[in-house]
Amino acid sequence: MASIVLEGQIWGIVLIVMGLFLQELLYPRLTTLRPGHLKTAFSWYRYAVSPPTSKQSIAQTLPWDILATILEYLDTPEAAVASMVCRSWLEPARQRLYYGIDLQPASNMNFIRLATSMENSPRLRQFVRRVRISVLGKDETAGRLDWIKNLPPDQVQRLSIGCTQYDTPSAADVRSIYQHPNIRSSVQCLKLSGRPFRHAEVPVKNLEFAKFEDLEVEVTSDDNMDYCSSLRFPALRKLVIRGARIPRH
Amino acid sequence: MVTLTTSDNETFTVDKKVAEKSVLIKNMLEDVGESDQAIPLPNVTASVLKKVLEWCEHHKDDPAPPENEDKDDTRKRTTDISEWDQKFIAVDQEMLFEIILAANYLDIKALLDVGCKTVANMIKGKSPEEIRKLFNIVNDFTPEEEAQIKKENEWAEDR
Repeated sequence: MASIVLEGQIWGIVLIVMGLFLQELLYPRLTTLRPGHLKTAFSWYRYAVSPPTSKQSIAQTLPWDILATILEYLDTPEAAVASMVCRSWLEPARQRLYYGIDLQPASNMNFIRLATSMENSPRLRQFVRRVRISVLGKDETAGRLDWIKNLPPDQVQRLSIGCTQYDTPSAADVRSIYQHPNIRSSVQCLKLSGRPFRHAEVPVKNLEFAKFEDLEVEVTSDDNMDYCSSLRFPALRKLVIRGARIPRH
Repeated sequence: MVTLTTSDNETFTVDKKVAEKSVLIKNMLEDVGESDQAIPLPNVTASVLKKVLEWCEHHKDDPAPPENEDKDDTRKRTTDISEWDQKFIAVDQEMLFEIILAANYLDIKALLDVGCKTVANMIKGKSPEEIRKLFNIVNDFTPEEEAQIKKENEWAEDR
């Protein structure tokens, strides 16, 4: 046994030297030794010392497409569990969780947890295409939707925000999101339940929503409809207005 | 009739209608035209192809699935596996994954779905450790990474 290990070590050292030599040959511009060189060479060494003995599980080597299909059949909490199984499952599971973020109804705790994850892990933002979320409008959730504005531009296609109390800080939050240039230029489908135009005292003039095709809003008679009369939707194909009074505009 | 050759050099001769459940084979036949030449399937072994063809034979008269279904609006259900398919897919784990890989390679979407639904059903209700044990998966995360991923996805856990 000892001789095998020793042999492995000798082979490992030979392989490190060979690996370094090969890298010099392939990338002659890199004349200095960088940590990357050693790392690659060391992985050869590790392979020599402990070659993979048993056959790796098929489940661990499934291609991304297949994992993505399996994950489609899991609900959100189950997909969160799947992300912790192993490295090869992590990225497809992240895609499943963050491509279409669905947090409705959201407890305040989960709403804040999601905001914290999106703020702390910028790499998660690349996955997001659709967001469906509800805001409860408590003070502790104020400002915690801002991550939506920080998503890469031209990425979010569908946005659905449910809001129960539009006279709380979250009402302003919701408005600041759909008015944000990143959102206006990318979103095709916007659904706002609750009363998104209520207490929108300051009409924003000439705000254009370039790609909006599908808009669904809820209004009531005391909402400031002058506000939304200044909005422009050149691509609009479908408009649903729910509420007590259909505005003249 | 169409002749197929597996990676371990066995040949299968099947009805064209059965073989064309595979989009890969269908496209190949369209490209080649009428020909007596065997179609090589270097990624599929005989034992797996036999199973796959059994499925294709049973489903040869099924209507073509609708294209471009919007996968995001309604989450797919896992329970809707037909009784015949459930019996068909009640195989050992290695064969299950081999069938999934073959269905993916041969582009037989309905069979791929049956396999993936079955795996999803096996995952449901289990912890990460139980899933690893079930599929013989090695945990290749460091404890720090594991803790970080858990925290990151905490919003999505049971609520």
